[in-house]
Amino acid sequence: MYFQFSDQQVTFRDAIRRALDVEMARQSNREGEGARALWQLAGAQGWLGIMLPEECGGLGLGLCDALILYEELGQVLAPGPFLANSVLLPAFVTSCSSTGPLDALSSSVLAGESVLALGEVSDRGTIYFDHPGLATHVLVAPAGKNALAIRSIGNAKTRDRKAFDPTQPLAEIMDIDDCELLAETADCAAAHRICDAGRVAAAAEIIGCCEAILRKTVDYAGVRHQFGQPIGSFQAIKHRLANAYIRLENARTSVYYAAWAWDNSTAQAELAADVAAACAGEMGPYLVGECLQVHGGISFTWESGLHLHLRRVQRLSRTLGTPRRAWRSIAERVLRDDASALDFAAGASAAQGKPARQASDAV
Amino acid sequence: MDLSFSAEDERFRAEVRDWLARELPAFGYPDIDQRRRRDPELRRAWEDHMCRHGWSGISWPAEFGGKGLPLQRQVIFWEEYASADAPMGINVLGHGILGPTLVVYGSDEQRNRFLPRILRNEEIWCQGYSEPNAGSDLASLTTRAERRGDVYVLNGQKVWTSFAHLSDWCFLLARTDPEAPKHKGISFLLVDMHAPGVEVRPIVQMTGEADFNEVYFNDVEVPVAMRVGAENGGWPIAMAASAFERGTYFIPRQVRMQRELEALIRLAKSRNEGSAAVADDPVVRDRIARLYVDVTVMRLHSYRTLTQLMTSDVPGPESSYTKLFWSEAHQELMNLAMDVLGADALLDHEDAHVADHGRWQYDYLYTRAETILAGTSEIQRNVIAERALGLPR
Repeated sequence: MYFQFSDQQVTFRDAIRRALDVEMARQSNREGEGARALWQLAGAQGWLGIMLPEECGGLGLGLCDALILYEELGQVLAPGPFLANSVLLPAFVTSCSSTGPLDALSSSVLAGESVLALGEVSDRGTIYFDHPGLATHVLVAPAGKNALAIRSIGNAKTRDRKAFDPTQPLAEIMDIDDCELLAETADCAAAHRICDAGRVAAAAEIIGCCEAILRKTVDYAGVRHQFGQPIGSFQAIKHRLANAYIRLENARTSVYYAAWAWDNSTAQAELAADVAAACAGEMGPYLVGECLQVHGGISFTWESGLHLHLRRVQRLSRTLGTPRRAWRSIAERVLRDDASALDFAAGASAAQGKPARQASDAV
Repeated sequence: MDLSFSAEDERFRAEVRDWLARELPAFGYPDIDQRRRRDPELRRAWEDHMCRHGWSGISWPAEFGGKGLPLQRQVIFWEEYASADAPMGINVLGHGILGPTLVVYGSDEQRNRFLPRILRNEEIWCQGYSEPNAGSDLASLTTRAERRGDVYVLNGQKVWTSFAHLSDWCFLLARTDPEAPKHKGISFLLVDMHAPGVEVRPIVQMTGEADFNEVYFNDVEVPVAMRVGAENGGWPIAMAASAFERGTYFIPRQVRMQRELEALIRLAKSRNEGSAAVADDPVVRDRIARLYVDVTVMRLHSYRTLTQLMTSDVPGPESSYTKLFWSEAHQELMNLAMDVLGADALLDHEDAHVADHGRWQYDYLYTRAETILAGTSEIQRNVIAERALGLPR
């Protein structure tokens, strides 16, 4: 029983944090232009290959280690299509039996020559995807199919869009059939497994984003004085932030568990991913909202930058599925006739499959 | 990250599970009528039985007669205990708080006098902390212990004293120096409930029974040898005492809540509204999903706490978070149960025809106390804000 990061994982986290702090401090403009520089750093640091099998040039680690990266990315609102390349692509590679084209793509991604973007079908049938300045490929769930496909963007017609989260620029592919198909998941189970990894990583990024703004808010409440005392000494503020802290820790617990369950392919892994997505997906906008409230008037200014946390958690909470769908899925699983869904402890003590390597196992 | 227990720990789990499965039925558990389950006499009989068979002092060091179980085995014990639907005893305060307090802070005389009798469940303990004018602000207590030679003369009143009417001894906080700042004038005393001048008056609870009491002390003589720790040094001891069970106290309550949720789901599936089951109502389904997540997350969080305690044992504000979260989720569960009951919610838990022996009505009422006892939700939020977040006091 060891339900926290190992010393090696903490070291890993500290190294990521230091590198990100230096790079983000260098970037004066958060609205999209720093992505290329950060992407090069990420490639050089090996972050893109965390979950890729060693035979493909990666570190062969699991989601428990990847979520360390994602918390740190969330802390600094890092721009970049990290999820598609460092989580979804490796999960795709390990889920598919014939991997020729994907092996080539993985190598190309590690070398910084190809970049995968996560796509989402718009209500007009076009495909929204992020970081058009970087993306060479797109991963998308074809309409009406329980599958995921990777296509190369090539010369397909695209149009820039103005993104709700300005740190993650957006464009749309007008016709997905203009993009050559590279690989598609063979079955539902593979598609779900890849999406589950993505949802858990996105939830981890929400945790990091929320931790950062909560910290800023506690600091602010300590220095902002009104009525002769720091506003943080008023119970209304204390209770609001205590509630936010509770929800944050709940979401964090659910994310760590979901990552462990995914790495160990437990019987409850899908339900665990639903729980993480539901918890973190709802907690994000709620917590950031509370932090904005405590900041008072300045929270409503563009210049304060606080709104960027709100925009980021909104986007993340809807990555690969909405909290609403996750709650519905939880209800369905829990209310099925099969009552073993509730006995997560059985899943914990009887993990199926070979546990993934973790950073703590590294020599 | 590793959420499994070792093979040896799992063998211990099986041992506990098997013992409980063999021994509980003779006392009527787990299938016992929900009304009888709460009977203090039955609970005492079961507690005596457990102690006779060595299942007491599980967290106490072996040199004081305990089992000295490592923390993860204590957790496993309490998980299995609640999974088996075994009842909580009536000497929880003796086993869980006063015993460990004497182990650390007691004199040899006190340990020899009291610890074996707690382990054999021969003496029942109650806790004399709260007073009519000292609830959340406990340090403002005014029960007075005036030193006269080798005794303290105790005068005052305690309230909400659970099982005082069944107790042999009381550990209490009293003021020994009214001139000192309030936290520095309090002593921790052990009082014989059968001594002259002790009067116990039951208080009827919202739920109908009288498990707690007012306790009046009129010139009760308490030997100085019955003071734990230094004179006027009682407050830090009381604070330390409240932390002894922080890794395990809520485990059985959380596991019990898992079982309650399972029962609530069965209830919702068995009740109909028109042609559909209550369990088909999307609003009910959403609330059940949320309760499932609450219960799962709180159980998993206890494993994070366990890991922290095993690796560093640095006390944090974990217990505030745990108590607050559990008590409010428990209220929501019982709120939903009342909703699901439909017309049956019109019946009192003591009505002859009430569903499930009235467990839902009873627990619905009882959960109103859970956000108040053992530190109100408001106090817990203050502690979290100040100690976990570092907001100014």
